[in-house]
Amino acid sequence: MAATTADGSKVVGGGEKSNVDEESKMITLFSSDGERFEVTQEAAAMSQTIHHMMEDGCVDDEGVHLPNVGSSILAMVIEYCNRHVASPDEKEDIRSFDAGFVNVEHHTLFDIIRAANYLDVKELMDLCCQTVADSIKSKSVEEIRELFGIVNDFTPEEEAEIRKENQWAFE
Amino acid sequence: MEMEADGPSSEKRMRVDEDEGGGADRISDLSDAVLGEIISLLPTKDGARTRILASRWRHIWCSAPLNLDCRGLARCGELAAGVISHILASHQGPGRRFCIRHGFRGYRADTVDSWLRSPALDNLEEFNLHCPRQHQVMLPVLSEPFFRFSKTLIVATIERCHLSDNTVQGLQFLQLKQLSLEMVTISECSLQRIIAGCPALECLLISYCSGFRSITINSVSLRSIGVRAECRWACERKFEKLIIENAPSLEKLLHLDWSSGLDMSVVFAPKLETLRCSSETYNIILLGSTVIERLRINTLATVVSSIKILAIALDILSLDIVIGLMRCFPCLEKLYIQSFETGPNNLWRRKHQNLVRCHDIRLKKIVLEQYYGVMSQVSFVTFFVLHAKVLESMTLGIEAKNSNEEFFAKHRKKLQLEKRASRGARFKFTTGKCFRNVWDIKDFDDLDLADPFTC
Repeated sequence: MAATTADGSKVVGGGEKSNVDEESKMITLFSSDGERFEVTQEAAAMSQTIHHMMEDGCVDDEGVHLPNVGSSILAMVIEYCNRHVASPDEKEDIRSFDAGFVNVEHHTLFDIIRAANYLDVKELMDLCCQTVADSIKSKSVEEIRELFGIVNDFTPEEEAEIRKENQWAFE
Repeated sequence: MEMEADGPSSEKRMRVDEDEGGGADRISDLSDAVLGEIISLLPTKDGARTRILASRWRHIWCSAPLNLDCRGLARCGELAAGVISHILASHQGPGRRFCIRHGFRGYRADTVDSWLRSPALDNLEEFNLHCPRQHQVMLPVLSEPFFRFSKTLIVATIERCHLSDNTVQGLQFLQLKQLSLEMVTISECSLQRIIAGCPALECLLISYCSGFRSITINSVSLRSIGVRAECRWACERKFEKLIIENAPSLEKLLHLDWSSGLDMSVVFAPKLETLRCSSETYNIILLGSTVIERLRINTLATVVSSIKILAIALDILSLDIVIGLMRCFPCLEKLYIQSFETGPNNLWRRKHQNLVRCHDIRLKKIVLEQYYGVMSQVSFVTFFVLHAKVLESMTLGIEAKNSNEEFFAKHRKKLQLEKRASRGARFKFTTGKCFRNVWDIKDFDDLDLADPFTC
């Protein structure tokens, strides 16, 4: 049972994985605007939505149509998935990559969130939601409204009511 | 903060401009579920305040998973208790996170019970409990309603509590990934039961607990474990031995005591890469046959080539001891040393030269605290300067009074840096913290870092 010399050397992913055939099988994805993307099955499987489709045999020779995701956003999601399957163990590099990945305009971030939600890519969803949460934290209500362009449509009475209900939060 | 995104990308990324305001409100277009997800990541007060942003936001916090941190909610314990009850009453659940840190007087047990039973906390994912300080002898028993979260908890931190055998019996925490027990009293068989009942456990922290003598780890999922055997009050059963019997995924094993001792035995942990131990780690038995006593190699029967990162606290800085460890861990890449006394003169002996002849020293990084420049330290450090061929960096911690060009110049010469074996090696003297030590490694995030010791 006990190994005498434990070989702890890790496979440092540089890009392509040259092992099992199935992992390098490609799958075609079509964005809402008809653009074609080739991804490895492994990267595609990061999307639970696509993963289930593959498992249920719903993916035909043509590929998977994603009517809810535009090409520019799909390209970004694919980039994320490719990077995360390439070398999942290199935590520091991945942290750097993630930080750069979410360094985008808010509306792009929201589009990515919508896509990640639809495609059910949990890690990407968590990353983006945390990014938005971080930009909200410790800001005043006015600052948050200004940051996102939120229009205050409460009457003064309604506002006062909410403040009273949650007095502890506004102290 | 500029960060280069890796990999090919034809997209032009624009920086997030914090002052960019106005323009269309795109965030309110996100679905309730997604907004709820974002809000549940906010601290409690921030989360509640989102209600007032606009009418679209008013009800999201109440229906989003609840992140309730009882600290800082009100100026005193009594007011806080009222606020907590109010929040729990007005939330429909599910619960994301519940953190109770009792104030000086502590909350009443029946109040806490009623909170734990609240539907607002259904399916709770993260639970942090810190009980009042004054219960030194008799710790409060972790109340039974807590265990209703056993199926959904992912993270649990329990501090200053007694876990009784009745409550623990038959429990399984199917989703629990991170567990920290601090100043908890629990019997040996209950502790074993809990660990066995966590099939997804990845990170385990046990600090200052008592009631058990030994812990045996059999876990296919466990990736890192940190232990502090020190017992902070008089206890009949003190934690003395840690046995890693079968841990195929274990990557980090950290004995984090400052001055308390422990025996460790690693039977099967083929991926073990990071190890922290000290002269207080009385006996380390590796793979059944290699025995290390207080960091001195007693029997070297089999080497452990998986270990790449080693942090040690030595009673005396001895080249013999460190070379012994390097023989035991031939693939060691990073070495962090804290030593209490400078010890004997560390003259190089033939056996040291033999090591260098037979095995390449693969060390890339060496960090040594409290370098005073005395002869034994100079001798110790110079050994590596002249023989570590792939060394990339060496950091020596110095006192503030030595932080001057005169000292640097003198020691660059003493340490023979111009003759260094690795031309690309960088040498640094620092008055700041050299590496993260036992005080700094406290929670799950610390254990999750690729290298928990690097500053």
